[in-house]
Amino acid sequence: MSQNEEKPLNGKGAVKKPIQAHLGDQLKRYFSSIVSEPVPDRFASLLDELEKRERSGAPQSPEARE
Amino acid sequence: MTAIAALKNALLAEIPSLRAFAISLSGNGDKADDLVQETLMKAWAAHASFAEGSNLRAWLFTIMRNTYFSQYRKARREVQDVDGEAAARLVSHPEQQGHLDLADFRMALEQLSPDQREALILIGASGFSYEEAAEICGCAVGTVKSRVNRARQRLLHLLALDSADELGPDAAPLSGKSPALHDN
Repeated sequence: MSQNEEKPLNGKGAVKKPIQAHLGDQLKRYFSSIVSEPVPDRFASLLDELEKRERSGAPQSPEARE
Repeated sequence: MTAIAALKNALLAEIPSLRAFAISLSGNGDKADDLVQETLMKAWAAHASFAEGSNLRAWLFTIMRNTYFSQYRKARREVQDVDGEAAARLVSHPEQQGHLDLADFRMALEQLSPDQREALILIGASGFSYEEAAEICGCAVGTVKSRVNRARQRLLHLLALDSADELGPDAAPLSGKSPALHDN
């Protein structure tokens, strides 16, 4: 509803479109470079552990830290 | 597939995004992975409160950012000197405009305030809408917009991508400790 889109950016305190696009590319590259990193095993183990506890009817919120 | 197995698979699939958001928020590998772990545990414990068919990633990001910001508020008084150090490295080659590598970009990102960085990541990298980001952050859409704008301006400033003559000495963006730009 709100047509309150960001103002076209120029002048003081504003970011020009091509630069903004460049920044957007950098941001996406940065983020996807992390997304595509291999995931540490600890998370799969944690989820396995949580699943096991759930199935055996143990109370939730396991102390999975260390 | 049982509900539990489905939950587990759904969470597994979100881990790369969760890590990226965690690293974006906390900037530190170990802390970030702890944050992912805590988020997964909380999500698991609270999954009954997740509305089927709604956006799982948004729900997880909400849990994560709330966890992060409550810890951040606690740890706030621990002063970090990393800022000055990172700033020094960042400004050591202001001439390479246009092709910054990711390490530089990451360092600049770390200089932003946490709420600005969060908004920028949600909008600019994670692909959430302003409305979704506002819901995740628990703030108004207008607040997200202004945080994103300020984050962009600050980033450009830090990366020396804005025009040099706008960088007056009192515009030095970096912690006041060291000058933001070479003056020789």
